[in-house]
Amino acid sequence: MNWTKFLIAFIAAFVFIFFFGFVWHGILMKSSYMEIASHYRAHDDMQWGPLLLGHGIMALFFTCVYASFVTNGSLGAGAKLGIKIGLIFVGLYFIRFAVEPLTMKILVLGGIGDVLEFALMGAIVGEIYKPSTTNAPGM
Amino acid sequence: MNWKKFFIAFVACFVFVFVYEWVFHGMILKDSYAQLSALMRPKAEIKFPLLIAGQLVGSFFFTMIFVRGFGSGGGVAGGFRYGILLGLFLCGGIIITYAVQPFTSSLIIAWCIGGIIESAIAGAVVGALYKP
Repeated sequence: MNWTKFLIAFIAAFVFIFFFGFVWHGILMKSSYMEIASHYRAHDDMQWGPLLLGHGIMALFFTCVYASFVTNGSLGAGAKLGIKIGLIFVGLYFIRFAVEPLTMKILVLGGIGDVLEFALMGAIVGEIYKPSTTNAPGM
Repeated sequence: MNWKKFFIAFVACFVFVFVYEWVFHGMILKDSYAQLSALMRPKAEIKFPLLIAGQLVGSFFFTMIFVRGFGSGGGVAGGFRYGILLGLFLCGGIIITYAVQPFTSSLIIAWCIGGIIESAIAGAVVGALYKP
């Protein structure tokens, strides 16, 4: 494990997903969320600590998965991993839509946003993180 | 890539996820959901085909990531480790959900712990079944 590159990749991933989430969910999808405002916390009730923590955990363990499972690291390999993880989240959106009264617009835009977000995060991690040794299988 | 083994591992993963989530969410956490009825669909309105589709999509790509990452075979231990890492990653998403939706902290903690266990076991199942 190349810890210096790992740390840089993790921080870059965290900064990216936090700002992507802010733009995608906080600005572009704001009107969609307002259609079912009672389903969400009011602005004053938002939990900013957990919001930051959640993004930090996602960036950290995405970088861990990439560093553990991808040997011939590259922007493309990272993006591919990100797309696959994004598609797991699409599955999770299906499940949430099945049990929570979300709108179709939130399902579609949320799913597209997650695939895009993780693909780009993967590309960033793939571009930055290079293993110090090559003893793990390739992606 | 061994497509036959991949398919067997994917189906086994899906069956495990279906049963686990039925027990975990449908039985163990049933009372917690009943207290949050405003945030959940009434039982009659739950969209079961979409629920199944979501589990199928999730299981498919969960298996695909492992198979692509462990081209030479990771075994149960490799699958378990992969499942733990991905479970922790998904836990981040659950914490974000808590930040923006009024779910209780006890339910969020249960989702995180249950999700990590589910992902770890699913990883071990996939690791045990997939051989290149």
